[in-house]
Amino acid sequence: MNYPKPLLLICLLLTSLNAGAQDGVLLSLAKDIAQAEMEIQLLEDENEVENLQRIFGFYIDKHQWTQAADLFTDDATLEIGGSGVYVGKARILEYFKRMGAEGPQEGILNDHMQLQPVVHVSPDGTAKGRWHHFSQQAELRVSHFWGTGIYENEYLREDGVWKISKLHLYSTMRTPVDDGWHVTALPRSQPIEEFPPDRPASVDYENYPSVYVVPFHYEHPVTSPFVPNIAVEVLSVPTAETLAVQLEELDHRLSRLEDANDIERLQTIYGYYLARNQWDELTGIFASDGTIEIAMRGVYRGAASIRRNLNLYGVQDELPGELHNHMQYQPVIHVADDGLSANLRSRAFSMMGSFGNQGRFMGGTYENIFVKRNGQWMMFKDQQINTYFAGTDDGWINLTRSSPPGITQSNPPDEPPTMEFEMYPKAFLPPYHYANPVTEEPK
Amino acid sequence: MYTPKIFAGLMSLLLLISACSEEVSSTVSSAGEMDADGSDLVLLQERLNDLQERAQRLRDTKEIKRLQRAYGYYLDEAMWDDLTELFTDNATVEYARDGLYRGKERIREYLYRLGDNRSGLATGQLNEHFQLMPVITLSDDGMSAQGRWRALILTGQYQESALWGEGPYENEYVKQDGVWKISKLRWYQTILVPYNGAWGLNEDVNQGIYVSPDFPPDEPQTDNFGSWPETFLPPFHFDNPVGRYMPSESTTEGEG
Repeated sequence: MNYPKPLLLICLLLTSLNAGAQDGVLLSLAKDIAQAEMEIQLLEDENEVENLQRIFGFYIDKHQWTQAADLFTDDATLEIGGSGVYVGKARILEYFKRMGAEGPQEGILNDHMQLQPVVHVSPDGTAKGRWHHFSQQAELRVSHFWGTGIYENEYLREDGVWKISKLHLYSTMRTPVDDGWHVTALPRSQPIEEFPPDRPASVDYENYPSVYVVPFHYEHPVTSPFVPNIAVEVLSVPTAETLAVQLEELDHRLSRLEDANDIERLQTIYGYYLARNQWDELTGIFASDGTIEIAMRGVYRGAASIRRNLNLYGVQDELPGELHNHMQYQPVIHVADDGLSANLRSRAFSMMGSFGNQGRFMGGTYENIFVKRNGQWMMFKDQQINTYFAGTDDGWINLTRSSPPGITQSNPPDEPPTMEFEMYPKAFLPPYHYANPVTEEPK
Repeated sequence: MYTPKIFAGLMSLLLLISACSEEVSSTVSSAGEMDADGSDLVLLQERLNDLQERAQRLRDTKEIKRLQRAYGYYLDEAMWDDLTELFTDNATVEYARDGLYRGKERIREYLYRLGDNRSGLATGQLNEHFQLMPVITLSDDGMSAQGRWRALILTGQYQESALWGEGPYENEYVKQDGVWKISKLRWYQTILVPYNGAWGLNEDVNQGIYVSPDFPPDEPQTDNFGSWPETFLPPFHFDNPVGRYMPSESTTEGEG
């Protein structure tokens, strides 16, 4: 381009101004990008803390005491009910081990649902979380209980890895299944005499039927909203290239967060459609070459087969006098770095049955795979592994049938089951798609 | 440090200058630094704006989840004043078949009546309402949202009654002065049945009616939702995110 000389002079003048202005703009952009990075970091932290607590829950269910204890910091504390405070990872492991032999045990049900997280992460690498706890515990021919409680836990990020630094489970209600909470309300636990705690219980309270409000770690979300203090400092002027690289990296991290959000949402929608026999809607969330494998019914591959599989659970959209709730909870989601596939482990707690007959509870685990095609997440593999079916009034104490539903000859699968398992009272550990997030110990 | 106005000024100056930059670049970059021209900076700013907006939408989704879960914890403890403060001034609530109540003070009175005009639980009262299965859908402008949830309920009174309950919510939320509040709460009671015999052997204990006979609603029940063993599918606020299966046609993928 040829400018007349006066214009070139003006340009030169402006460009020298530009150098200063540009520095200012670059510095301003760098600060805003640093701020965005901190905000994205907090979103990642929140997901990781939620994953951590849910992973903890899966380990406890199956008596994986060593895996569970490895999720704690070295000087963490553990306090459950009125048992007192145990300090340090080694003591926590010993506490767990006193609850039974390591690994899933025949005749033992130990489901501890991790629900309703309210997690607040601070930029300094600490976090607090309130959770609801709902348990189904049984020992075959000995006892079975319902229990509720509240966790107020703390977490710490060490070398980029989130760990539990304080676990405090306040028990709320515990009752034998045969009685119910209107008849029997068991007191909170007491310190173990032969294994006394390092410190007495930090708080004195009584279980239901007494009233006790577990203190909240957070203020009222509307009248005193939580605002993390994000202060960033950028001292030197970066180049535009540096900023472009930073933005690229942030875009990548944010996209994985969006993916996890979409996947949790999709798994939840799966539960809503399942609850009301909406078979065409449910089939629609699968990839056209996806699979469904429920219990040991075998693998149904492709949309037409998936739709056909769903006929095994009832007539589409027709549920007069029938309950078919499959509550979806405790998702642990890992999205592949390329953002094209993801694994999810989660749980269902089901309330099922027809009016006029005893209803049933069902507990089960999902290990599912999702894929993203043309920018849209869809279910690629749905595998559901039942833990139990139990009558609402019978509970688990005398359950003997341990074989899950198998192949239906009149509506057979495309392929045989990929996994053999038995339900409670037999012991089975559904394989994890992930390693221990702290030790990287295998699945 | 830069206010938006100053920033905009700087950006337009840079844009103006960028027209010159090709001509003078050889002269000026004699200092050897890799100066970006103005259009590069505008591009960076646009990409940052996009990231900020997307991060904000995720944050909003998480805050709405925390809000509804906080609601659940307050409800468990019959903390009616704290519950009321989660709503907008002109919010509506409609529980089961009790009809619709409009405005914060009506909501407060409704909630207190649910709890026998007492704040906090009575001795021997259990009121667990687990808040599960969020499906949050944010509006395009990020200022309002809809959410479907499911409550799993264990309630009762020691030595008197124990009940299993369950039902979905279809709620609405708005962001006011940067804070999310509940603007509409609609809860559908699928079941509320005695512990013994549960939903297999019992009809709903209250047919979805709580306090409306003594405290009439501002508007009658807004739909024809009944009570167990009648069943009802509460409408979804969202479309199938992938697409409903069409048995007779070939399915398409990823058009969303």
